[in-house]
Amino acid sequence: MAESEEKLLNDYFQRIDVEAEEIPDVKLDAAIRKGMQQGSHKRFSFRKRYAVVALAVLAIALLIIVPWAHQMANPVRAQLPPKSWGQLEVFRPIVADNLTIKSALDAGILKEVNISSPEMDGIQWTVNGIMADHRGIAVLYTIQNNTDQKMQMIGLSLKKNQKNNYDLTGYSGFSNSNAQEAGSPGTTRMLEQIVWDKYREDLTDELNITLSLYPESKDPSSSSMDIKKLSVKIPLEDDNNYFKGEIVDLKDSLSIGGQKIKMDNIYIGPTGIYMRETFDKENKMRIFNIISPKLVIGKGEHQEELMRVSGASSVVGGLKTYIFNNDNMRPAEPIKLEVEGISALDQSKVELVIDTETQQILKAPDNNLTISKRMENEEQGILVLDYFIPKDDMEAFADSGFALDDNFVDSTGSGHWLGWVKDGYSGYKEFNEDSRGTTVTFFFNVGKEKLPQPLTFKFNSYPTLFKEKASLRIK
Amino acid sequence: MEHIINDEMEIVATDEDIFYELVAEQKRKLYSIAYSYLRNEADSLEVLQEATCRAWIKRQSLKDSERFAPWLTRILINCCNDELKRRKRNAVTEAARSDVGIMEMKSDRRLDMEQALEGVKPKYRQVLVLKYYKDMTLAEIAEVLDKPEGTVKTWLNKGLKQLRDRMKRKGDLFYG
Repeated sequence: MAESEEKLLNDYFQRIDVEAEEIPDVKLDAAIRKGMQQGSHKRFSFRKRYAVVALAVLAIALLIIVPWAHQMANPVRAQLPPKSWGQLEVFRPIVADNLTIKSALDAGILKEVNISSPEMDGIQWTVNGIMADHRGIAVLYTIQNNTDQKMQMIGLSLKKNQKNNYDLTGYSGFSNSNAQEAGSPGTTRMLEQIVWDKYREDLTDELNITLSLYPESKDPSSSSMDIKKLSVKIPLEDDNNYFKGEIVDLKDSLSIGGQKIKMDNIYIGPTGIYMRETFDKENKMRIFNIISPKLVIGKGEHQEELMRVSGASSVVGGLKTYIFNNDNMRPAEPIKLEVEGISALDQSKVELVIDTETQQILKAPDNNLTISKRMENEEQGILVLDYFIPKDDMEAFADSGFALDDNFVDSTGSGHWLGWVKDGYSGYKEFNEDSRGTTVTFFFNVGKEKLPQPLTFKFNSYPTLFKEKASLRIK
Repeated sequence: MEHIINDEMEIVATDEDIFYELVAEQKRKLYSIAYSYLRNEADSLEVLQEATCRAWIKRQSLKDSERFAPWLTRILINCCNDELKRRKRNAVTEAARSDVGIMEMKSDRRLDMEQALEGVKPKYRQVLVLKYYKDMTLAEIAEVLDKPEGTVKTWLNKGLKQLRDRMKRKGDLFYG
């Protein structure tokens, strides 16, 4: 009898295998890259796509509005008459307030190239402008879709040559492109900024850029036959126009609340200003976040803030790299880093110990964190915690949040993963406001399996703020 | 000094490169396992992405780099099980999904096997997938699941039994 099941299983899986084999490599590679990128950005256990709460929306809105309003109101930039960008002038609405690209075009660093791919099934793409340095590349391009079918963009792939399998695109890349509009019938202009996979000593003589698209109307599970790959070869001149930029070795460090923070791997290039934060090993606190890091260029009334590039930071080996805009029109002016404090916990307090069976917190950083009464009504395995934020402390919470690592250990030292809660949410929280402040209720899934108690969790962030302004001369 | 900084940057980059290469080597195997669980491309890619994300975050916790492949496979299977649990909770919504057209194209036999597999406990099912789909030995499965070989053998037998019981309930379709 067992033989029959085995044969049936083999037959069944053979058919599954045929279907699974149809997936094109490009989609698998994209999933891996996105996973790494997601992991790099994931400071909190709450997945970005699920943690949709009013507070987050407000914070994001502020992040977008404040820099925009600031740059619009900045008298230094406002006084500069816009320079003609030649044929790239048509990209002005796409570049909008992107200071790095705008100033590079003003300074003539971003080169006009206008190299087109052969037309494929009514679609052609042209790379119009390009700028590269040691850490990244910016591409202005046009998709000409002469069909009436909308295409979905998979992305850009950058290689030394077409035969080379190695993609030069970094995992911490970011895009200013509006992928929704990318493949619409007609002409679409796009801007994409991509971080190299590593610091590049030199560039190849030519760069192969491939744009991949597939018809939106097709089932995404369609075979690679439907994917259209349009490639162009861009010759790169290894001269100053492509390879400007400087490395800064900083001896000084920031000191906040007695904790030392150093910035290293600093690179100031046409595509942006890159720097990595490192924390001194002697620090007595675990630092989760630096509050409001910003760069300021210039002196006195000519000071201007260089905003962080939205979404552009990567965490490698637990160390975060920040990417700021650069003003390519002001290459000789001083730049300083300003921060407003840190969120941190004493190293002895970074663990949260809970007996989930007796519903008791055995160790927590403070009394603001309690077991929620709502846990009684939840199904087995769901841990519900309340965090109380006094009314005047709401800012602290918005700045740093509170998050647990996805991994926790039982009393025998065995590790476990937090599961999903609430219809696939990896983490879930609710806000309840009253006159005293706000109670945030967090839901975690520790699983239904009976585990040796207590369970030890680790904080990935906690809203303990040390507000103290500090600054550091970068250049 | 520039040289020193460059070296550090190279080390950072190497970490990412090596990780990417290690995952990429396994990509078809991982995707096919996910596909065998979820049977649609979008969810399988999502799970591959999620498993890569979890592995990337936790890569420092893997002490023995030679065990990367089984470790990553285990993470992926956990992600698949999470997704199946989520689907179960959303059973009503799932039923209303628009993949009716695809269902119609499947044979009765295949549908029965899918339904029977869905009824097998996750821990037994993962053994069936690794053994009959990926042709892995019991020792290899034990390494992936981080369980003793004896346990894996027991789970295999129990999985086959559950599968048999489930299919018998279908009216002895395959045995008649």
